[in-house]
Order: sequence, then structure tokens, then C-alpha cells
Amino acid sequence: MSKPTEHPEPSFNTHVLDEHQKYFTFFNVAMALILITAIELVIVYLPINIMIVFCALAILSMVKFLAVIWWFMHLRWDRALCTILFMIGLLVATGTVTALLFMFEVDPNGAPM
Amino acid sequence: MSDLAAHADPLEELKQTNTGVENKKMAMWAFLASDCMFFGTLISTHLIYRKIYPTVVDPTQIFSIELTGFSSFILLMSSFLMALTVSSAHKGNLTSMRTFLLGTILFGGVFLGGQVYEFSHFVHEKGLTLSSSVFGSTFYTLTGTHGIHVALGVFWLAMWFFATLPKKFSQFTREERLPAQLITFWVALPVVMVLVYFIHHHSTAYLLIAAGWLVLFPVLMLVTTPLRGRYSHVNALDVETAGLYWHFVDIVWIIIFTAVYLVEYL
Repeated sequence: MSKPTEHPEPSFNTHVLDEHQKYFTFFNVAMALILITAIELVIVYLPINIMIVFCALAILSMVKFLAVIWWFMHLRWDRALCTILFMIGLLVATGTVTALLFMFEVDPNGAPM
Repeated sequence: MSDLAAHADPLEELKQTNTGVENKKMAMWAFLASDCMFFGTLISTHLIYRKIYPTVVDPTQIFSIELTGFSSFILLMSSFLMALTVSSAHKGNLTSMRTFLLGTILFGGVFLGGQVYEFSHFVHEKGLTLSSSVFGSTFYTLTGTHGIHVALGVFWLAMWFFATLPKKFSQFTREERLPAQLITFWVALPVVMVLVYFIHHHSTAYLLIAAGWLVLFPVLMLVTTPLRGRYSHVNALDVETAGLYWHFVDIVWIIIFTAVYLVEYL
């Protein structure tokens, strides 16, 4: 039988404590995500300029997106390589969507140009 | 084995690769990057046809923003529970991991139920089908593909849930909180379905789903016998990989919710 150590094993404490701290981080992120979703649902009915609401929706959904990948998907704690790999796919996808939307322009009457 | 080795994170060994990232995790991130492009094309197709044919359909007369908002909330919460599942898996806390995994699966099931209800409502009461208009084609293709991703995720997580169960039925009562978890899993869906039947809509389909699940669950327990007892602490990486996929499904919905649903109300 091994002799009991006077001090607890440090790597065990660090590993478990890190995970405990993540719990509170995840909880805060989840609450923020709910709040943002509620704001999104409300602002579409507010009588304010459409462009302002559109920009607000784009920013809020981007914040939600980044919060999920940064904290829930552990990019904050993982190596930068994971972030780079995912961002390559994300940038190509965003570029494709943007290019396609500009390629299929319509005139003010709604007819394809 | 020394105390040090026993308490260290067993996943550290799996990080001994050229990149310093576990191979399975690396493969999942590469897949998710490619899936971004896949959903990017589907989303742009929907938006382009909405732009070219803006007056074909008025989506605000079809959509139920309350239901979609509720679905978004459910999927975000399932993502939160998945993050806790992965955290519990890394801590080696099997009981907590099972509870959170079960919650994630149930919430995923609720989201899918909401989508089935939404599609059924659109088809039968609003007349929006896959071939009724360009809007219907692109809408069902996009949200249906996302729904298939969610269904695959639920299936994948359910496999891991069954893998965490003890090999023999006689060992079930020895595990902390396991009988209660299984009964919850078995009874939750039928209770929801019966409530929906009485409160919202007197359709026998809800009662059939409830009865079907009551019969299916014991069959699932038998069918998944080869899976049971296979989970060990090293499989925390596999649960984390499944979690990455689940979170990805969530972020795709964040974009769809804004680009397909909310923007229509402006």
C-alpha cells in the first residue's frame, strides 16, 4: 500500500478545478445566449429603421455564433490549429455566400439583372 | 500504478501527435470546416431565390416565430448541456455525464419534434410543400438538411449513452441514480405527447408516438446490448468529438434562425 501523501496530488486538483470553473463559464454563456435570442425576437417588432434592425440581427447572431465556438466548442482552451482549421472553412463558406449573393443581383423591380 | 498516474488526465497521452491535437478531434474540425461550405451553399441558394422571387410567398403568413424561437431556445440549452457532458466526461464523473447526455438527447428530441410539427403544419394547413414554390423547395431543403444533422447527432449521442450503461442488467441497481435516469428517459416523451394531445391538438398521432416509444425503449435496451459497458475514461475524447458536432448543429441553426426566419419580419 502506498504511503499517503501529505499534500494532495497537484495535477488532479488542477485538472478537476479547471473543469469546475468551466461549469460557471458555460452557465454564464448559456444565459447570455438566451438573453440575445430574446432580444432578437423583440427587435424585429420594434418600429425602428430596417437597416438598423438588420445590422443588429447580424451582429447579435455573430456574437452567438462566436460564443458557442469559443466557449462551448473549447476553442478558447484548445490549440490555435483547431481555430485556424475551422476558420479556413468558415471564411471560404462566407466568401462563397457573399459572392453568390452579389452575382445574383436584382433590379429595384425585383427582376434578375 | 502511482497516485500521480491514476489521477492525471488520461487524455493527455492522446495529444502526443505531430500537431499536438488528438487525431479524432482534428478530423472532426476538418469535417466541420467542410460542412460550413455545405451549409453556406444551401443558405445562399435560399437567400438568392428569396431575392429573385420576393413575392411568391409571404413567409410571415406561414412561419410561427413563437415556435421557432422556442426551438432555438431548446437547441441552445441542449448545447449548454452538451458542454457540461464533455466537462463531466473529462472529470470522469460518469453519473453527471449520463444525466447531462440524457438532457442533451431529450432536448434534441424536442427540437426534432418541433420541426416535425412545423413541417406538418406548413404542409397541411399552409399548403407549403417541397414542390409548391421555389420558396418551399429551398426552405425544406435547408431546414430539412439541418434536421437530418440533428437526428444523426441524437442517434450518435444515444449510442454513447447506451455505451455508458453496465454490461449486465443485474448491475443497473448498483449504479447511482441510473434506474431513475432510465425511467425518466422512458417516460418523459410519452408524458409530453399525452400532454400535447390533451392541451393542444387531439390528434391520435401523438398517442401513437407515446405508445411507440413505450414499446421501442425496452427493444432499444436489448438491441444495444453489445454497446453496453464499452465506455471507459479514454472515450471522453469520443464524447468531446460528438459534442463538437452537436455544437456545430447549434451554430448552423443560429444562422438559419436569423437569415431564414427573423429577416422575413423586417
